[in-house]
Amino acid sequence: MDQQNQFIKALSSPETQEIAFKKLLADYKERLYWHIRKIVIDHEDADDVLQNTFIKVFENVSKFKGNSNIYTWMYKIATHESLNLLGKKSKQLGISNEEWIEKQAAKLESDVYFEGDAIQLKLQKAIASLPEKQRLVFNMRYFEEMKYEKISEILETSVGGLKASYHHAVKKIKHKINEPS
Amino acid sequence: MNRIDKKSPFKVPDGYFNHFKQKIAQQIDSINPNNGYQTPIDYFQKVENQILDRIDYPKPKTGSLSDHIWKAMAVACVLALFFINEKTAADQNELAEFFIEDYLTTNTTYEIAEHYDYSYEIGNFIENYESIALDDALEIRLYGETPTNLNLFDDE
Repeated sequence: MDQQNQFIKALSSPETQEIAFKKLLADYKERLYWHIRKIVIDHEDADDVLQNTFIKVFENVSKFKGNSNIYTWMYKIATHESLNLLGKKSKQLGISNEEWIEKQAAKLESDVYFEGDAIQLKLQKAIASLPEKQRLVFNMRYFEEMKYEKISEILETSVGGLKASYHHAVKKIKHKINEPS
Repeated sequence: MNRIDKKSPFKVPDGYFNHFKQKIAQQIDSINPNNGYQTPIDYFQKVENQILDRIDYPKPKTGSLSDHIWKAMAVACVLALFFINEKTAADQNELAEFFIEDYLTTNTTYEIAEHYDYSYEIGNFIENYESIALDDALEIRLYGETPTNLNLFDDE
């Protein structure tokens, strides 16, 4: 925590914040990008969210209380920003977030920034069909291999609730994948 | 148990460990860790620059406009006080010169001599000739003699 406090001080101090922020950006841009990309699916959307996330991190670091890990806090911002974007996009079309995501997943075959094989495509479509919470939990647990405790902090949900969500998500995905196309 | 050789009975193909790193690297390359999702070439370098361009680092404090105004006002006040004092001092000097001139023209030399304050002169004189007793010094001064021409051994 001492190391984290020193880093937060460096981020807040005008003399050191530029170097500290560059370090934060260099270390976390890719991890946050992939976290965001799995939520929003489209690269351009992920790019927007990633940039906004880092800007928000920079602007609000002085308000960060240090009672949690700074990286958990950044994931929280990234998740929140991703869901905000989904909310805006779906609202424009008058559909739900889940419907918007299913539409995005349906476009993956023609997406120049998607090179997955048939199985990967089927998996992504199955994930896209999940309710929002289950989709988030599944991505964080299955692909990012996050601990439930960390996911719990990011999504502000109990560990028990997360385990149940993950269990339901796996069951649904298995069922979807085994469905004849 | 002690007689059993602890050396492993298992063998590996020749040069297996030499090529291990290379084989693993090839396998890792073939795995797509992002399940088919890709990014444009050099995306992560570009996005880093884009984000840094959007960041507005606070500039070192140079002082606000009001600070500058206050400083300028303070300097102006100091200068004004200086010039006012200068003018007052000049006026006082002029006045003093006038009074001295008037005093010198309206009084005779004897009158001026009578007004002369001896006490200051005597004090100075005593400081300069500490070895001489006060009465002697007064006498010397009254008779207009200096210690160099004073005959201290008159009685002898």
